[in-house]
Amino acid sequence: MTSTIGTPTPSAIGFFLLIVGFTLAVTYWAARRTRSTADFYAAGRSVSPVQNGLALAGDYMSAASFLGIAGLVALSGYDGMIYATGWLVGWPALMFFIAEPLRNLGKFTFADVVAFRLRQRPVRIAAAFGGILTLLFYTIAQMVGAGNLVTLMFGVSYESAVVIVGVVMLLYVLFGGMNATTWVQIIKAILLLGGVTVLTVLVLAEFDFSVTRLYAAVAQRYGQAALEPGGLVTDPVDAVSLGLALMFGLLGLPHILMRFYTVPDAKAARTSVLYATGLIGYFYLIIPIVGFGASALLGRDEIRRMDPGGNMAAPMVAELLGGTPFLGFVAAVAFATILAVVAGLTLAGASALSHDIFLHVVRRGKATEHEQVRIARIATVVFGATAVLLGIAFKGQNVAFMVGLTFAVAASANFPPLLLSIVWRRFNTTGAVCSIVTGALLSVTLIILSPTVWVDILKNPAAISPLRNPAIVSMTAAFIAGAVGSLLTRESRAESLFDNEKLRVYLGVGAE
Amino acid sequence: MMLTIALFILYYGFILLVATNRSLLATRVGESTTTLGILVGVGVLLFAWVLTAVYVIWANRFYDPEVQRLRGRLRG
Repeated sequence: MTSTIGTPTPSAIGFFLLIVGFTLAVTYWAARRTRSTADFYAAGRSVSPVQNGLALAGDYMSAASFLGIAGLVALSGYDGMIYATGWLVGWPALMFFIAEPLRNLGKFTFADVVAFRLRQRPVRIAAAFGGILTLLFYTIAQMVGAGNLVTLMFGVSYESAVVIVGVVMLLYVLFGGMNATTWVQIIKAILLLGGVTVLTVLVLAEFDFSVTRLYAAVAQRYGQAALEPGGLVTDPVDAVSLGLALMFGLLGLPHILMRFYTVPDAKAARTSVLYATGLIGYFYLIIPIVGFGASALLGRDEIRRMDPGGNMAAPMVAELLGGTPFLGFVAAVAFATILAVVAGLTLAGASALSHDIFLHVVRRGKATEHEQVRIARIATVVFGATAVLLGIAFKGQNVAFMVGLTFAVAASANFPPLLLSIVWRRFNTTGAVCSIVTGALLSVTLIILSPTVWVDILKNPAAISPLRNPAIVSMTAAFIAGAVGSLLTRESRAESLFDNEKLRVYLGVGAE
Repeated sequence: MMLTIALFILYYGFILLVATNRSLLATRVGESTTTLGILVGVGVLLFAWVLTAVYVIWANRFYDPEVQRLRGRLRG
């Protein structure tokens, strides 16, 4: 089969320009409504639960999950499904542990919550460090993914792909702030869910709309093993550790947490998680069908020939079943997906730099609205430029482990202090700083010493740490460090403010 | 709390099952080639959503009225 994948077809470029043009028009509209800090960081707190549910789903469903899981299922069968479940189970946990207290306690960033009753400067510095570290790792993964994907699909050079992503997403964030970013996420989520739904229907139509027949076709071609657990998850400790990182990493992703400030109150935050979980669950439910379909209709060798990692499985099925125009649509949606995710990351990074570091550390909480918005825009450019430079610096590197690293750091450095500050009266400044530093350093160090980096990338003969996923150690250590640090020192102000905090967490008294 | 425990049992139970008892998940369902593992995987996804839905129903029906009552008392 000859394929137009890798050549910029008129339909691919047309759909791409249509999406970018439309989202930039939305940005223009949003820019006129972006004046205050609450507009820039939190869309004026006027986003509805349905909109926020879609935007959360948009922020979370990256190109890696769309193309990556379809490819993983296509090449390894059932193992891809294990990953798909892991990506969803964080959402109920987010609902049970964090969503509503976060909305009631914070203003713009998750550091607001950690620092609520603690000493502002040390806690803000530590929390912004953990947050920005998480965002940078995620941004590298997204940027390198973007460069590779766009090169593979449109045939343009890696560097220009990275620069295009950087420039367009900067336009969204710089002028439209959270308003534009939210709408970009909503548009992208609808396009992605719509596109994958059409793809799934096209695949199922080939098998008389029977998944049983689809599985039978896969089993006939690649044996029953394709439908059984394979080699991905074998060691129970590593498996649970991966599960912990995926589940609690979500609870420490700054760009996701930030979305809860865009809705009016805790009840709206709660409802938006329900919508998001439904949309994301649906997405992970149908993605494996596309992957199995690619396996049965195209064959694994064909998929590997296009891209050894399997990332082109979904676009190839799209071309086979829907022709060049549909491939163009899917390619454009994949590109838009990356744009939207990077925009969300940049806004979160800018808020940590400007709201946490500039306002609360440099200016000790004193700056005019006008000045804050200006600094937020400067921080956006700084973070965006860093993202582009990192994307180019990591060209050709194997960055698959970066996503795992992101979730491990988020689960170890951001989630423990967040939870402890909400539930534990004795938790104090020393505890918060100890917990963040321990979680961040330990998770990064253990990943470098793990087989994934030490052996596979640095080519050393044997790994120093046996765990591929460090969360089980580093997250536990962060909790212990938080507890020890708090118990060794006393901070009476933090303890006496706890009752105040509880009123605000559970009853919403005084929430912004 | 019950929901959190249910979520943990659901997901870590699934992961540990995959890690320790692969042959069980490889069992075929009836005459088809579909394996038990596929059904369980789909079940985990659906059940995770059901848990969030149960939480929302509980919070809307019991938690919110209680919050309103306590806020009223604080004001009074």
